[in-house]
Formats: sequence, C-alpha cells, structure tokens
Amino acid sequence: MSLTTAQMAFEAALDDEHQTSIYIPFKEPDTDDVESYTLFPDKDILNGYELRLAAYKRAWSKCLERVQELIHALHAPIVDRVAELVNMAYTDTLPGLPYAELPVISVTVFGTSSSVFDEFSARLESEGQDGLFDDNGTHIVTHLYPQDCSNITSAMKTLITGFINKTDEELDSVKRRPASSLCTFDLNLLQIWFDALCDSRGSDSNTTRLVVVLHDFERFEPLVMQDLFEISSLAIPRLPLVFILSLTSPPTPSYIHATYPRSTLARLQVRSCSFSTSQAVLHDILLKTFFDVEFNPDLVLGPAAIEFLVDFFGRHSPSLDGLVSILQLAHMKHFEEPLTVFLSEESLASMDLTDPGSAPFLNSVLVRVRGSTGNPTGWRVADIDVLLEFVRSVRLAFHRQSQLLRVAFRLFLVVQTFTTSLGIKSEKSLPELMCAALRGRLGTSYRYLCTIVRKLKVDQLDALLSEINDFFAGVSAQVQGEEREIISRISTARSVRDRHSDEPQQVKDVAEMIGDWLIEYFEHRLVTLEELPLWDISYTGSAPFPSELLNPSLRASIFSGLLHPQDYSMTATNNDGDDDEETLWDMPDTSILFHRYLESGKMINVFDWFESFSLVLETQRRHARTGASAHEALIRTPSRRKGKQRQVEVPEDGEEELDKWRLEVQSRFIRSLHELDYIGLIKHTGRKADHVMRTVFDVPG
Amino acid sequence: MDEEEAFIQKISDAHPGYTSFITHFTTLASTHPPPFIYVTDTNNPRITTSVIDAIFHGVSSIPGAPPTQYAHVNAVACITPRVFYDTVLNVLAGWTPSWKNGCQVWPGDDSQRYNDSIDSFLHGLRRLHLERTTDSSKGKGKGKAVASKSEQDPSMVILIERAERLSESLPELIVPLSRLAELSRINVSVILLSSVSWEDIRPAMGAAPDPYHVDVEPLAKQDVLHRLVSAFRRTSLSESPSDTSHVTYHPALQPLYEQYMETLYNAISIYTNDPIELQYVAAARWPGFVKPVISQYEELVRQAEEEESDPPELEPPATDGRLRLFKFFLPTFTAALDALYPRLDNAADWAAKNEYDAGQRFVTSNCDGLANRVKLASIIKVDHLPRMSKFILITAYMASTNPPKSDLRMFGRGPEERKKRRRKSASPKKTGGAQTIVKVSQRLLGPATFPLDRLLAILGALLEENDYETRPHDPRFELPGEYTDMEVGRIHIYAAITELTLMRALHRTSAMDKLDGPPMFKCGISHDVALALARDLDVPLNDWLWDPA
Repeated sequence: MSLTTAQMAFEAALDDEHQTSIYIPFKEPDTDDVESYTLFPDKDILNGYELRLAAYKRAWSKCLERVQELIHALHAPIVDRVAELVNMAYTDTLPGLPYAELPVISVTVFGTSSSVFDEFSARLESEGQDGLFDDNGTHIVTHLYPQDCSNITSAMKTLITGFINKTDEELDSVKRRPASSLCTFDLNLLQIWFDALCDSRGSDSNTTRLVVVLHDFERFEPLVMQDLFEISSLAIPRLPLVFILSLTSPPTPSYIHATYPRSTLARLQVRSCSFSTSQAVLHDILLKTFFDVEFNPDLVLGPAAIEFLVDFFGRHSPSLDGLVSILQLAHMKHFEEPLTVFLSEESLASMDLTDPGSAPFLNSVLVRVRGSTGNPTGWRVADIDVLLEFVRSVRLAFHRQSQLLRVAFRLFLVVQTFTTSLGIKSEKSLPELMCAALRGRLGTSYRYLCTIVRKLKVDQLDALLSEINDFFAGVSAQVQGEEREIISRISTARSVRDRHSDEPQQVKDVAEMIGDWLIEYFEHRLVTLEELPLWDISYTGSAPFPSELLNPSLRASIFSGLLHPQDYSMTATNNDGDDDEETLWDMPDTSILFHRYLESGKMINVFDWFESFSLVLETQRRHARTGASAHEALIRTPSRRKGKQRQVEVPEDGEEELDKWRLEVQSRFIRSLHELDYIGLIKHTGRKADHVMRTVFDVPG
Repeated sequence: MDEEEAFIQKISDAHPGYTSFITHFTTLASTHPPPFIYVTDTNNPRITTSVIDAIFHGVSSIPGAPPTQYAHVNAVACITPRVFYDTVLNVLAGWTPSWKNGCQVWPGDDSQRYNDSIDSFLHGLRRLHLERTTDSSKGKGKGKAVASKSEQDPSMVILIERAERLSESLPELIVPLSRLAELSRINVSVILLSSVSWEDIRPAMGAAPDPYHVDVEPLAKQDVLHRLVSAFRRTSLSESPSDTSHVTYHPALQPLYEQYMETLYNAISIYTNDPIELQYVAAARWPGFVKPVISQYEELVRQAEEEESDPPELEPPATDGRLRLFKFFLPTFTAALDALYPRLDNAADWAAKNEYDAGQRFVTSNCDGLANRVKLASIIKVDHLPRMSKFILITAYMASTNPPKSDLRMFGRGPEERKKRRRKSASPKKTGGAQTIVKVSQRLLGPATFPLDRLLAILGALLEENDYETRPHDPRFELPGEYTDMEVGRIHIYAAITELTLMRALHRTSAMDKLDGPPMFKCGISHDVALALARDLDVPLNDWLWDPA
C-alpha cells in the first residue's frame, strides 16, 4: 500500500501523543456508482432519476404556487388590519385621556408561517408611497428577537440601532464617537435621529411610525419587556413608536394580561388581531387546490394522502407550513415511481427509449399497457412512437376525467349547500366527501341528496335550478362542451318551469326528473380514477402517505434501525443464509452489540458482552478471509465508518497480527458501547462491578 | 413675597390638594434647597412629579430665588450610569445633541469626557457650575441689583423619578447621589421621588446621609374632582371648537361634567381613587354619556338651519334630563371600571364599543350587553390548539396536581389496581383526629414539577382511554396499548411539548443545556383552562384528579 503524503501526515498525527484530537477526513469510497438513485432498479429507465426530478419540480412548483397564493389571500385581511391599526396609532386617540398610551398591536398567529410578519413589514414600509416620488409617509420597521433581548441594555441597543441602520442611505450617517456621543442604548439618540429624519424628509412626524416587531413575544423576558415598554412610553408621542407583538398563545386567556403587571399594562394601548388556522382553512385550501373547477394540478392527490393530511393537521400541528411540507412530501414520494417520467411532456420528448438500459422500464410499461388496453399483441422497438402516442392520449384522458370529476364534485357541493340551507345537515365532513368522491364511493350521499331534490317545493326547485345554472355558467367553455348533456337538461327543465307555472303535478314531475338526471350525472362522473389506464402517472391513489418520514416514533425508529440496519442502508446486502446467527456477523458493530444486549438479563456483565461480541467478529473475519473477493459488497455494509476497518485482511495469523486484531476488536467494542450509551440504552448504576443496566426491555421484533 | 404667593397660587390652582406641598417646596426651592431630599408618595407619584416640575421650572422667576438649573430623569430609563450622566449633564447645560455633529454630548468636544465615572461626572458638574457662575456674574455685573453672594450662587436640582429602581439598575450610584453636594462642592440638590420609603432602598452601613423627608398626603375627594374638572377644561381648550365632532368637550358641558364626575367618583371610588385612573375611565365613558345630549343639540341645529334662524347655543340638559341620563348610565360605570382598570380593553376601543345607541332599549339591554361582554371575555377559547397539544396540557395539569405516588393507582388499569383506585370520598378512616395535619390542596400550592417521562406515561394512559377510537385504523398494531405507545413516542409529541413550553403553557424548570436526566416541567395553565380543554376533548377530568374540586 503506497502512502500519500496526506496519509503520512495523518499517521504522524496519530502517533503524536500531544494531539488531543485528530480530524479523520471521510472519503466517499466510490462516488461514481451512485449515479441514478432509484428504488426500482428492475423497472427504471436510464437517467430516470433526473427526468423524474425535473417532472417533480414542475408539478410541485405549480402546486406550491397555488397554495402560496391561497395562503397569501388568507393573510391579506390581517395584514390590512395591522396596517390600519399602525396608521391609526397616535392620530385616532380618545380625547381627554390622562396620558398618551403606547400603541401595542398583539397579533396572534397560530399555525401560520412567520412569513406573515414579512408581509407586515413589506406592507408598512410601502405604506404611503402612493405618489411616485413621495416616500415621506413610509413607516420604518425593525425586528426584535428574544435572543437579542437578554437584558434591557441589549434590547434597547438592538431597537435603536435597528432603526438607525435602516435609514443609512437617507440620512448621512455621521460618525459617532463612542466616548463623547450619546450611547447606542440611549433613547435620546433615537429621538435625535428621528428629528433629523423628519427634517431630511421634510415631513412632519405625524405620518411616519416607528414600528417594532417583537417576534415570539412569549419568549421575551417579562422583566426586560416591562422596562422596555416603560422607557418607550416616556418618549411618546414625540417618538411615534408602535409595537407589534407576535404571539402564539391563545387570545383568551391573554398571555399579556396574565404575565404583565397592571402598572405596565396601564401604559399600553393593546389592540389585538388574531389569525389562527382551523380545519375550515385547511378544507378551503384543499378544495381550491385539488378540487377546483379551473385549476388543474399536475398531480392529483389520492384519498390516502388527504386523509393523512387532515388527521395530522387536526391532531398534531395545524400549521400551514406543515401543510406545505406534507404536500411536498406527497409529491416527492409519488415521483419515486418510474412510470411518473411520463407526467411531463418535456421528459417524454427527451427520454431515450431505444437505449438498451431502458429495456426493463419498457417491459414494465408494456405489461401495464397490455393489461390496461387488453391488447395482447406483441410490441417491438419500432412501436415506441406508438407507445408514446398512447401514453399521451392516456394522460390527456386522465386529466379530462379528473377535471370532470372535480366539476361534478363541486356541483355535488352546490346541491349539498343548497339542501343544508334548507336545514338538512350532512353527516360527513368535507374531507370525507372528497375521499369518497375520489374512491367513487359517494353513491349513498348523492342518492340521498337527489331524493331530497325530488321532493323539493316550487320555489326551492326554482332556486336550485338557477344555482345549478349559475354554476355551469361559471365553468370554462371546454368543460361546458363536455357537460352539454346535463347543461341542456337543466336548461330544458328551467324552460319547462318558466312556461308552466305552479301546477303541483308538473312541479313534481320536473323535480323528479332533475333528481334522476343528477343521479345519472353523478354516477357517470364520480367514479374512481384508478380504473383509467396508467392512472398512477398523475394520481397518488390509495398509496399510503409516508408518515414515518414526517412524524416518526423515536424509540421505534431507533430500535428498528438497530435491529434491521439493512433496511436503512443504501446498498442492500444480499445474504444467502437466512439464519439469524449467520446474518448477525453481517451487521454493523452497534447492531451486533444491541442484539446481544437484548438477549441478556437486567444487568449485563460487560466482559461477557465483549466475549460474545468478539465471537461474532471472529466469524466476520473468517468470512472476510474466505471469500474476500466474493464479499466485496458485504464488506462495505451500511456503516461506512466501520467498513473501512474491516478491510484489514490477514492472510496468516502471526502473533503480531493477532495482537493487532485483539486491539481492533476491543476498540470496536468500546466504540459501539459508547454509541449505545449515547442513545441512552445503558445505565451505569455502579451497584455491581463490571455490570451495566439495561434500560430497554420489551423490544418488538 | 407677593410674587412668591402668586406663584404658589398659580401652581396650586393647577394641582388642587397640593397646596401645602407646593408652599413647602417653593420655600425650599426659592431659598436654599437641602442637598438631599426624599419625597415619598405612595399614591400618585406621577402627579407629584408634574408638581415638582412646575415648581422648579418657574422658581427662577421669583425674585430673590437663586437661578436654578433643573434636570428631571427617570430611574427606569437610566439603564446604565452613562445614560444617567449624559442625560443629566445635557439637561443641566441646556445642551441639545444634534445628528449633524454626531450626537455629541455636552460639552460638545472631544477634549474632555464627563460620562465615564462618577468622578468625571462631578468634574462635569463643577465645570457647569463654574460656567454658570461666570455667566451670571457677567449678567449681574451689568445689572444694578446687588445681592449677597449666597443668593447669586446658582443652584442645580436633579429630580430622580421612580427612585426605587435605582437600587436595581444603578445601586452604586445611590450613595454618591445622596452626598452629591458634598462631593462636588457646589450648590446642588438631589431629589429622589419614590413610592416606597427611604428605609427600603437605603444602602447598608449608613453610607448615605439621612435625607430631608417630604411625604405627600393622599388627595381628598374634592381635590380629585377639581383636578378632573380642570382636565376637562384643558381638553376643551385643546380641542378645536369649530369642529362639530369635538363638541363632546364643549365648555358649555362643564357643569354636566362636574356632576358626571361626582357620580362616577361615588360609583367607583371604593375600587380606585387614583385621579389618573378615574380620568381614564371617565374619558372612555364620557363620549357615550354625552351623546344623547349632543344628538339632541344637533337635531336643534338642523331644525334651526331648516327654519333659517340662528343656531341655538349648546346647553347642558335640565335636571330631569340629567337624572334620566344618570339612571341610564350608572350601571355602565362599574362595567367600564371592570374592563378598563385591568386594561382588558383600552379606553378608545371600549368607548367605541359602548357608544350610546338611540334605538336600543336602554337600561336593561345595555346592561345585559355589558355583562355578556365581560362574560365573553372570560370564556376560554382553546380550539386553536391541535388535539395532541390539548391532551398534553391536560396531562401536564394532572401531573402537576396529582402526587406522583398516586399515579399507579390513578392510571394503572390492571384488575387489582382498579379496586384500589381512590375516590375522593373514600378516606373516612382519619376522622376526628385533631392531630391530623391539614393537607393543603396542590391546586392552592401551585403546580408541582414533574419529569418528561412522567408526562409521557400519563399521556399514554390518557390517550389509551380517550383517544383510541378517533385514530385511523392501523393493522400493524395488534397488542393492546401498542398503538398508543407508538403514538406517544412520535416526534411531534416532543415538538408539541417544546412549542407549548415556548408559549408558556408549560414551564420548563430545568436548564435547556442540561443533558443528563429528563427535563423537568411545570404546568402553566389554570384549572379553568384545564377544565375547558377536558370538556373540549370529552375527558372526565375530575375522575383523573387525585383531589378533585
């Protein structure tokens, strides 16, 4: 083995006893062979990973844009309200008050992202810029974070410098001498700066507000905040300070009132706005993203993902950021499937199916195509264009079908809203209805609705007809073309109703007719998408959501990682033997140690543990020696760090080699032991010499 | 001394009830103020501050009084000694730092700095004094008045408001401040104004000399009323009379206001007689109170315009009208106090919400509305929390109120534990023993701390009984309790605990950087909140408490 200079330096450092720590650089063994990551090597296309990544990016950014638009629209009212309150501060005061109060706007944002505060800043800083050249009225916003405010001095300093630094271009920043100028935590400095600012802007101080946003207000030290408020309230109204508090605790019981004394509260004029996400917000976003008449998502979310999303949102975290992550994860998961390269037209055009490497992929597609078309005729390479054409048409058909399903579902909701307004409540929640519609199991619900429709009275029937008519008038021309049958039926019914006024028999006839037509329509449209050919290109279907990635159970994950390290490694080990004892030597050291741990009693004798461990390592060594070349892959087993050490191959057991090996076993044992200790599986009681205690007993196999 | 009397009279008019204090202080100020004065005002230090301000700003105008420089600082704002030195010297020197010259403090050049220690501060004071003396001797030299040396000697006065905070923020300054005249050898007096007595902040070992004590008497009812009425006068002067929307504070309404104020005082003075608070409540209630009068007047003006005659003068209503007004609004006075004294609402918003509505049927409906509003405010909203966070909070409440030894009996669910589970009434054995120690309920003692492990264990027990049905079915879990065990170990449970800690619904009592041992927590929610959460989740909370209400 030739030693490079770096290695020599490294060896020298190892021998140097004055070194307390040594950095061992990790070198990726072979970076070239991890070219295209795939879970399904037997049916993937060449560079399918890159193609799918591109397709994923396109689909996800479309979905993300839509969701962000919706979230932004949700934020709009509260941003408006805060801007209004900031503008009102100091101008809209009640006459006759004994003193000026410090305006404080407490904003409860639970579940939404902190980006809402960026929206506040952007809005406030652009406020008053109506005229082209007039930026006199802009407010100045600064942000305070809990970690900046451990004491009042640093809080004041952050506050004041935050403002002063904002206007560097506007005001010539003059050099202040640290000794003979006002210090940066003196509020007088801010006052002077503000006067200078008003002078240079040529505006009076009435239009500008100095807005301080206190992020995560609950985490600020209340004593520091009391002082901050008191000092600030001494300077108003000459300094038009406005505080915006970001709270996550509920509006009642109010955190501010519970934490701060009356003397502080009396100085403040607290106004609150709250924004909290609820199930209704989630339903709205889902409805407008995946069940919108106009918006066509590239990837249609299946019922399993929707169910998980709704459950997670209500159970663990009603946060819009979480919602976005879940949607993104659903997209990522979906694009693991090799078939999804077909989703975008670009990748369809750029893929090279004639390459021999794509054969497995073509085969798998072919099986699917045959299965779905029922065409058992053979397929040749010359037919690739035909295949692509087929894929295109299938994809188009799927999008058409899913769009019509959404239209039908929205019509269903229109009818349901109508019957709800008559006092007939629906038992199912909106997500339940969505999932049922996607599964094609909405039958009972729409039959029930149509039964009600059949029994409607005159004016109710007219109202419903006009609502349905309005609904269809609102959809795109293309959809109208597709749905001309039901539309013409509705207009027939309307014209019949127009011609003949309230004859009871005739009304009943029309109502029954409408009911039957609607049932027919729903039956036709609300069918599961999974029956379409190659549906899984753009539909997640009932594939379970990978919830373990988002919300794993800590203990369970650690144990399963220790027990089955193969499941977590990149290179799957293929072992011939299926006996436990035989596979054990193939595991990383920590796993070997953990297996032995599970077999012991409450207290473990460390020496016995070591002995059993070294036995396994002995087996490992033997295997490595006998089939060094055959087990090349095995040696690079999951934990790379350990893999390196195992490459020490000993042809003959010399005395010196044996000593070296013993040392290696010992060090590997100690390292693995520490790893288990670090995870928290070992308790040092000191009650019994050479023994440690187990902390985990029943581990599910 | 006539001018001095006129001066005292002027300030006393502005601050009724302070006459003796003003006379006392003016005498001190106009002769030779003691070097160290300690003013104790337990009631209204803010008002006393304004009185002292008024005296010292005007005292130089009294003939015979020494020219006085006066600096007023707030001890809370002086977060470091340097801020204190800068502020005091700038004010005493009449120096305004400007942005252009780099916000330099007095004396405005780099040659000397007076803000780095008490010593240089004393030098600064001496320099200031020297400048003043030369200035005034120049001025006097031209004039003809020849006064004795002591009278000419200019004096400086430093008033420190909220002096009780000195002992926290600038404890090292109390002793030098108390003997400032002695240390600087100039004519300076320091006034500490505080709501606590000197004994509470006096430095140990008698390092500070005893101050000249002045105590401020609490205000009598009549003085408070005078004060508030003069505030009305000031407001009506400051509001532009031409604007019709500001007719609320029209001078013609002052007699009505006097009566209004007296009624208000009688109604709420048992809760507070702080003039500032009274003025706050009065300001919030007055616009609604006076609105019927104004709308009636506006009606008259409109009629007059239609008839093209001169608009009538605004007049306060006649006696029966007033009586009706008071009868109608009396219950709202205490309601206003209820909402405004603890600042559950601010005055402007409260006034807007409680405007007089002519269409309303008045006494009853308005009253009910107010009562409802107060009730609504006290209703606890918990719906914004996710389901697991609610469970965690209930669990934390249980863990903080139940003794740890009771857990197995309360939450254990084996066949024999169930029998042992104690109900509240099941402890009749210790009857009549006078020697039994009275056990104070944990709820009265405040929440106890508990480790994270205990929280998770109780959470598991709670979830197994109350949450199992709502979970989506998972075929992987077959053993009883296995599913719950999995759910309790999920990472979002830990995330929720951290999040609740950040919003202070849980208090973490162990340090964040302590790694060994489980983190300790304390419950941060009240019994009412816990009950509301339990109701929301359909958990029988009292069954799970060792010592239920």
